[in-house]
Amino acid sequence: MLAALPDEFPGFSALPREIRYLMGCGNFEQFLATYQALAKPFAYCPFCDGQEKEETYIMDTMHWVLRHNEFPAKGTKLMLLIVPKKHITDPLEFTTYDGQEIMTLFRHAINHFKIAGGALVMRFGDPQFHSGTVPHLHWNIIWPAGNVEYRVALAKDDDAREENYRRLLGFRVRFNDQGGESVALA
Amino acid sequence: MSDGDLLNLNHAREPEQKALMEQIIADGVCPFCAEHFKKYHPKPIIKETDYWFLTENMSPYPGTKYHFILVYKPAHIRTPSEIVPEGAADLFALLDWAIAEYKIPGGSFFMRFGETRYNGSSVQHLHGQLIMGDVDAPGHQPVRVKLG
Repeated sequence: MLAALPDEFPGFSALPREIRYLMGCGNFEQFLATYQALAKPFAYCPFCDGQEKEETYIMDTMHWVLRHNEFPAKGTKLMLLIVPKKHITDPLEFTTYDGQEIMTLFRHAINHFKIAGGALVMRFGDPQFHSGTVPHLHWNIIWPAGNVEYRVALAKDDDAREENYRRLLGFRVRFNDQGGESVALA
Repeated sequence: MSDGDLLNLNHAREPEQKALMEQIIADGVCPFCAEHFKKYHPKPIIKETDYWFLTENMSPYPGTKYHFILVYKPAHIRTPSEIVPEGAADLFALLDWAIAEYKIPGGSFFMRFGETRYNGSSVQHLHGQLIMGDVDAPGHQPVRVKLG
């Protein structure tokens, strides 16, 4: 997946979908988790695997789980995730019951954590048109810190993409140093 | 209702948006409540259900190809947790419709809630925003939405 990447940024549209997702990863741990999920989605999808993980699990309904975001963004006080238990990647797969379950978990999050304000955000489809890192659909509950400006990236320009690409090449070096795919997917 | 409860002029992004908001403040109404929405919103309603208006944002974010808003109709509420169950189901149906109708290959949907200092909202009536970045346009601008 990473071996054929050129040293110079070839343009976002020239890159395969998997690389577009990897470019959105802000740190190596997130990169590794995303890489594993892309290579073996049914074994490593971070939102399929460990749904009941104690460190992140908060509550669930029949089809959805409320959990902590393991990679909260800077400038936020709290970031939570509402994730479907089934590996759904297209919002057209949602049923009429999903909206009600999402709202049940959202209501619990607001009350439990006393979230004063923020946004409920979902990215979907081709990552060229948003800035997501995990294909498995999910909602982010974002509570900004409030004392610094916080902006959520929903589409990036070419300069930001190029910077993300360079960061990805840095992750590739570290990835290879640690044994590469044979170790990551062992 | 005080003006500050409904609209936040600090979060207006365009002069015409601010001018309209000042008029609405003078009128003392919520511009997104169903009985006023069509009077103040300058864009045509694309689709209307029992629970939502779907229309274009009057001041789309730079860098977007599509920027729709979905405005809750049944009541003046400020957080998604107040959406009635049928309204939540209807929201997903409407989102699906818009994604299919406009052949949106990828994008984002978000709803702000709570105190404006945490969400960057200009109108304190629950609405969602469906956005697709215009990433193929020459000189495309990034879309970074202010929340806090």
